[in-house]
Amino acid sequence: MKVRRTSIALILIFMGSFTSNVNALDYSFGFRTGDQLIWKCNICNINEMNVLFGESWRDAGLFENLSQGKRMRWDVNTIEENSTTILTSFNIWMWKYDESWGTLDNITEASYLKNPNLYPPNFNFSTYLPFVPFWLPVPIGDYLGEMKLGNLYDVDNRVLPTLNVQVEKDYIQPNIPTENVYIIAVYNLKGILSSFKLYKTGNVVVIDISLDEIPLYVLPATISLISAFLIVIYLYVKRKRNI
Amino acid sequence: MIFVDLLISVKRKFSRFWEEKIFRIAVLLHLFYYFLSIILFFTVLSEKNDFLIFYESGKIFLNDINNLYNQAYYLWDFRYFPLSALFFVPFSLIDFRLAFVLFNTLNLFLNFLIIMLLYKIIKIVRGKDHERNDKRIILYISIYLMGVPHVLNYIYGQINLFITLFILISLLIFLTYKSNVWQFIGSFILGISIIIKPTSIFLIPFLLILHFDLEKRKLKIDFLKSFIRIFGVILPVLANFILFAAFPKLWEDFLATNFTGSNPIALNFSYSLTKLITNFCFLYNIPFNQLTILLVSVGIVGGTGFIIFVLIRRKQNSILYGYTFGILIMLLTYFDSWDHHLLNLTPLLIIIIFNLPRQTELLNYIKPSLFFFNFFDILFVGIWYLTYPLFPYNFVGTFFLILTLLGVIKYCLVKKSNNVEVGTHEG
Repeated sequence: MKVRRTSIALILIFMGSFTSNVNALDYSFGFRTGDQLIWKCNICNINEMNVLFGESWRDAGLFENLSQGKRMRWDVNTIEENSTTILTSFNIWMWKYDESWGTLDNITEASYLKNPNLYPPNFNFSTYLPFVPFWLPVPIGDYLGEMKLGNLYDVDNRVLPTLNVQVEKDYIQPNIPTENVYIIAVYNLKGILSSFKLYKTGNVVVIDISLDEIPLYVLPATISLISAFLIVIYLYVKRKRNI
Repeated sequence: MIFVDLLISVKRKFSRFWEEKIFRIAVLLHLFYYFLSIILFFTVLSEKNDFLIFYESGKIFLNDINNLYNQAYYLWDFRYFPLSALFFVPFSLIDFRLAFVLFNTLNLFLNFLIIMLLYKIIKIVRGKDHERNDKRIILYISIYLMGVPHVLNYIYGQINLFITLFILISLLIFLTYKSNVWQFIGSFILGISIIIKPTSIFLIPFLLILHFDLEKRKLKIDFLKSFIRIFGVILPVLANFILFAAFPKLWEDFLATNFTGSNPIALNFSYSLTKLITNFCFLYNIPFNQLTILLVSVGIVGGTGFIIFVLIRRKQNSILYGYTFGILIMLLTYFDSWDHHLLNLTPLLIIIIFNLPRQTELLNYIKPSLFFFNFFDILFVGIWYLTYPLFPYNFVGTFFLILTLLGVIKYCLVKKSNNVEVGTHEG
């Protein structure tokens, strides 16, 4: 009798799950106050960018004075969240060659809605360079997946949270850009932009920016993987030859 | 009456399998995979699985077919032939969560059919020097059921098992029946698998009955049977072109999604040779055209495989090796070769193990690969996440695919000797 009642309860729970809604995720920050984020510019083909976006593309905004070899630093100043919004402010040192950062260039505030569904349909993060944000709430894959982004964007959150952007010729204004450009922005699990690549046709990289820190475990994990593979193959071949 | 006899025979076989402890463990483990996928679906993955794409494709096929490849409607890209969406229409008519459970239950049932087909095919092609009892067959069937790729296949709500089932049915037909009608039926069934998912598209050239005799330096081709087979397999695929002709936008979007869209560039843990190359280009900012890389890879790997297949020194069961070539070429050359796609390969490797002599050095290529694919490949997907910022190459899977390819090539080219005498069935 007891078994039958348990079975019925289980079936009811199972049936009930067909009608219940999946709980909404609680989106938040992937970083803490005081965290330092540094990006470096690995490639910046200024001549090509001048042709694509006109000569004023590096006069203002996050690409101001961008050049190959320069770095940009963001320090997380404050983080706040309420029932509807998450808000943060950063101290920003813009693109520099120097190791010593000196005085900060500006303080910027940025916010996101806690519920990504509340963004309007065809939402664009920006209609000018860099077109993608440098950080997003976490879990980032779900957040991007729930936003109803415009045609500019294609979200791929299967493996790494990625924003693919296709900016068509004349999108900004007539003859800017002068040809179609493509952006692949990859984010890490903290919601921070880890790689930004701007391509022109033929997959020619015009700008490549990446987070200037590789997690500590990456190098030992890579060395261990390659070493373990070679050792196992060596031992297997040796054993087979001895048989 | 035939159906009842068949059921009785299946029940008898299943009872025999059940006597083996390893089979009981395998079934329990497999059921665990199934229930795990259901639990994960209802707790965390209800909106993050491939079945959602298939489900949506069924809806769009019915209501707005012109937008079948409009990726704005999907969580992830829908890439398959348009008729595959038709297959999902019945599921898209019911509640999504109920559809997922039903679909995975169907997947579970397909695995039951697959192991029965595996048993039947192994009995046909088994080498003369293998044990005459079924114990070892049951062991390998259990290994298949315990395969870790099943976990992801269930969790994603993927359709690989349909492909495997159709491949095995067509293989069984080719191994068993020689008449032209059956040649047509076998290839037609393979064609249906291509409609559902084009994984088996590279099996088509291996349907040709074409052989170059190295000793006599003479090319032989069975035109009629080859034509019937190619016609049979192309027919279902061509049906898609009726849709492409009726809705030209579908054709443009299909090409863009599969070959020129942004997806092929994205960094991921695919173990295909093509992906290793594009990941390398991505990391080091080398300009590349993904379509060119795909075509060159298919040309080199596929061309080599096909030439070797034409030169094969033994006719027996050549179709088995042709099918294996086809799947290996697909896994090595298509951009996205993931752990669950291995379910199309592992049954063929198990059949090959029984077709090869019990003690042959060729098993050194096939067996380690089978065990790697079945149990360890998933581990390297996890390791990829630890190494990708510096080393985004899931190369171990590629290594074992190449090892398997070398094993099959060696089998095709080595002259007949005592240790490569195989089970005999023309095909």
